[in-house]
Amino acid sequence: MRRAWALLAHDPATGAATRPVAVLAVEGADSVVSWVPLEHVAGADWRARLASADPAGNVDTWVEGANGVVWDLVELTPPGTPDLRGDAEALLDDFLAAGT
Amino acid sequence: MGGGGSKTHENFTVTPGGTAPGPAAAVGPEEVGPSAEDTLQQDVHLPELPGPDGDWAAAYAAIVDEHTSTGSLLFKAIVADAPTAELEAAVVQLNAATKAWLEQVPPAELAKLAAAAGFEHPGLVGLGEGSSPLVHWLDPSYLSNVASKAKIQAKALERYDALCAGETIGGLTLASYTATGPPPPGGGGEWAASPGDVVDAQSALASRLVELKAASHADRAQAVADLVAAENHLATAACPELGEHLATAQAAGRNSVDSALGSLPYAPGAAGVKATAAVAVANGVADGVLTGDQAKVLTPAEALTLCRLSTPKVVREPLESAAADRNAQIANLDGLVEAHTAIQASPGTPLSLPALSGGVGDPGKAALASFAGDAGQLYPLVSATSSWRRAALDAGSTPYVGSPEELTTSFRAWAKTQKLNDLREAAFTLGHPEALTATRAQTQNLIAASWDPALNATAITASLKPAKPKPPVKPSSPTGKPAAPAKGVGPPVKPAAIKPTGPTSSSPVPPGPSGKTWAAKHLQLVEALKHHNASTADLPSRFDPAAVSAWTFTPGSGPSLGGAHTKSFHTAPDGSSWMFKPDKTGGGARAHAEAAASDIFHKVGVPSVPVYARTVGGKTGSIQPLLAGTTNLGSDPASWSQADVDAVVRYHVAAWACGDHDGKPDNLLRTAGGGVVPVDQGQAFKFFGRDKLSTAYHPNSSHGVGQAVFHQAYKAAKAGGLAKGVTVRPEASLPVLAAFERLPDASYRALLTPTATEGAKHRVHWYEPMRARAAKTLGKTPAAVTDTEVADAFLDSAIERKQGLRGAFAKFFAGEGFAGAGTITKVA
Repeated sequence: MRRAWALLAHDPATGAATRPVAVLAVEGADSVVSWVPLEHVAGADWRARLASADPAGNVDTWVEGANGVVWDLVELTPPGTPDLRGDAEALLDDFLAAGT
Repeated sequence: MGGGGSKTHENFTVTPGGTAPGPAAAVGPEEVGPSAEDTLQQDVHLPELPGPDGDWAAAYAAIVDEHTSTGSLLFKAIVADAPTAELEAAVVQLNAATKAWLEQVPPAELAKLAAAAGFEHPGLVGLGEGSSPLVHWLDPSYLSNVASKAKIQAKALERYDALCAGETIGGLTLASYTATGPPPPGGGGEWAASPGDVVDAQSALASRLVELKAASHADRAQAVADLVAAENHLATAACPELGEHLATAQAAGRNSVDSALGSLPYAPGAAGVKATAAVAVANGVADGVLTGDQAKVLTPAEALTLCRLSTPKVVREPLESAAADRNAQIANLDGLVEAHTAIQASPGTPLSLPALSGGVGDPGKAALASFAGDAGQLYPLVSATSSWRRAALDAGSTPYVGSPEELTTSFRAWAKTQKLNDLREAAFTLGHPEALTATRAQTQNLIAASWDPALNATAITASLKPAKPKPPVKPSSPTGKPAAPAKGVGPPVKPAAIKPTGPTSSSPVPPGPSGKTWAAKHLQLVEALKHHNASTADLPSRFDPAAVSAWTFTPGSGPSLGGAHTKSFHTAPDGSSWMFKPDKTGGGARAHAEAAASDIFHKVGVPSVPVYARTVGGKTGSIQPLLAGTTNLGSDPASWSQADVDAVVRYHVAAWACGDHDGKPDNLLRTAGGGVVPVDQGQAFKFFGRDKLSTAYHPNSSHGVGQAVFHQAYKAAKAGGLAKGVTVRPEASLPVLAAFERLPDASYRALLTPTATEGAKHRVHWYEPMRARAAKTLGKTPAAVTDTEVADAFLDSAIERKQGLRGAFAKFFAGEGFAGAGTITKVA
């Protein structure tokens, strides 16, 4: 089953993890991440987290453990494109269209 | 155009459709244009949507012209001091109408318009179900160089690179994309390559990619530098014989390097990242690709991006601009810190301001005004720089200047020694004429409001005048009785007025997105949160839990995000923003544990965000206020100051007392004043009965979770990984140890009783070890132990741990070899 999450980082303006930095899409043991460009600083912690642990195997733990203030992830509905990468990119486009 | 009239407050109406007027005559500075009053009577007409065979390019050009002329007229109205609220409303209206128009443009026409405006690969954005990002990119309401537009172009280029590298995106391949789209743009190269040279360059890049993947940590920096060099060689080749195939090869190379650098296995802590980039960045500076000043203030990832000659302009320019801004911030901040510390050597020490005296030209008043103005800039700048400075390659660190509230305390102590009339005159100098009739406290607060966000000069001033008509009711009318603010805290900060976003004032506030995607709803929520007041004090006030239980929390002004969101945002009766986390697994037990830990932290002097257990929307969970102006602590121990490490040591004591082993750097925030605040004690007491006070104890390691910040600090200290001059000082724990010892056991037990009873009731993680303890104590079989007895065993364990903290930490620090461990048992 294909699933997807918005990866959120801390935003000083809101005091909560409301800043989208990427979309993570998972299907079985496969995962794809599409990063919001030009968010090097805000996305750094999520990059380190994804680099140090298998996203497909740890995402549910992250959902449970995310504090919502410094980091968070919110499940999205995959649009069902022909491939996992397509779903990640399509969901990221929704953020870009909103002016993220 | 509207006729001349005397009305000055007509609404500025925007009407889509209608006959498109000719482009408004541009009014140059030397011409006499419409008056401010006239501009407020203008109607803005957007062209009708062309039909299938219509001239979309002309219609779009007319919209751009309309924005240009409207922007000019609005600017004139601003200069003429027309009412701001109506102008902003007009801008929002125009923006909304423009967006609505663009959203009706067919995707193929959008792509053509974007391509004509210089967008590369418009066919590679708009892959989602909602509005295409090209709507935003084409929207003339926003400046062409805003970051949000650059991101869209950067993503299109990135996707093209991925297709060139053989990836498939939503079923699209390079072949299917180029079959329908324009040929890839050719790039100018720097060295003349034969087709064989290009193949060699590709092979060399492939080899460097393999070497990087296999590199040990010690060899990684050189492997990264070699990879960047190989990519630069390919990226700068010019080979007319290969035609578009060269661009494809270069794009594929760029994609491969993006992937490789983006998935580097970082060493623990960001220090590993900095070291990994060091050689490549040094080479880049030597080659003139970036300057040393740029490199210092950029993060490793940012600096590496600039080192790569393949980086497109749309990514390069924002980074160069960011580097310039950051260098300016540091220069400004260094000056402010120097001036500030000349008056206050360190936080909490007396101010060495000259005494105020009466008379014209009193230098004391000038010195106070200068100090107050500088302090007003200092704290926001500290906050603004802390988000990137610690992650930057070599930007140093900001000296700890304390919190605005601490400065206010020091200021009040100094102000007591000054005559009231002199203080009033000083406040007058700072722009508060009403201070001439204010009390001493009000006058001091007016001056301190220059730097202290907890004080509201407007509210203080208003209290000095006769009662005025009440302002308009805010959209979300809070109900319930707010608790009285803590002593010493001024009136709550009012929500910020709606302000345009973007790099200049001509970029208007983004309208409510018309899309129904989660992203669009999320943006609305973010804007709503920004306009409410997340607490701007260094720490929010702590209220009686019974009072918080009685409050009515209204849903945040943003839309509901639906069941997929595990957290929700709400507004408290005082207008502040709070976050609610439902306790899905513990039936409320986890929330009680978190609230208790937060309270314990507070009682023993460890700064923490207040957390309360309560029910919201029928769900039991924990709720806490949000803190604005905060940044991440940063995961690089080398970036932590001595004050940070001391705070981490104190935090460790409280965390151990509460059995919380989840204190990772991403569970801590740095406040606007530079303090370190834990924000999540959701795992408090979870491992009680099994846990160990040991750097080797890491119960969450199997989930890819980093070590607790205190363990990271101790390991870094032993490995020479802390900043120069920074050490682990066991004696930093003394105040917290003493505070625990002053807490009566009976009070501690009462505080933890809800945690114990709820935890036993819901059979949480510590239930079994506590049941075993109770069975042993009572001489029963575990099966015969009641939940009440299990809860009692938990409370007994908590008391024992509390009573043994000093001895436990003395032994722990001695075992770790830290000097000063012996002071723990010798000093109260």
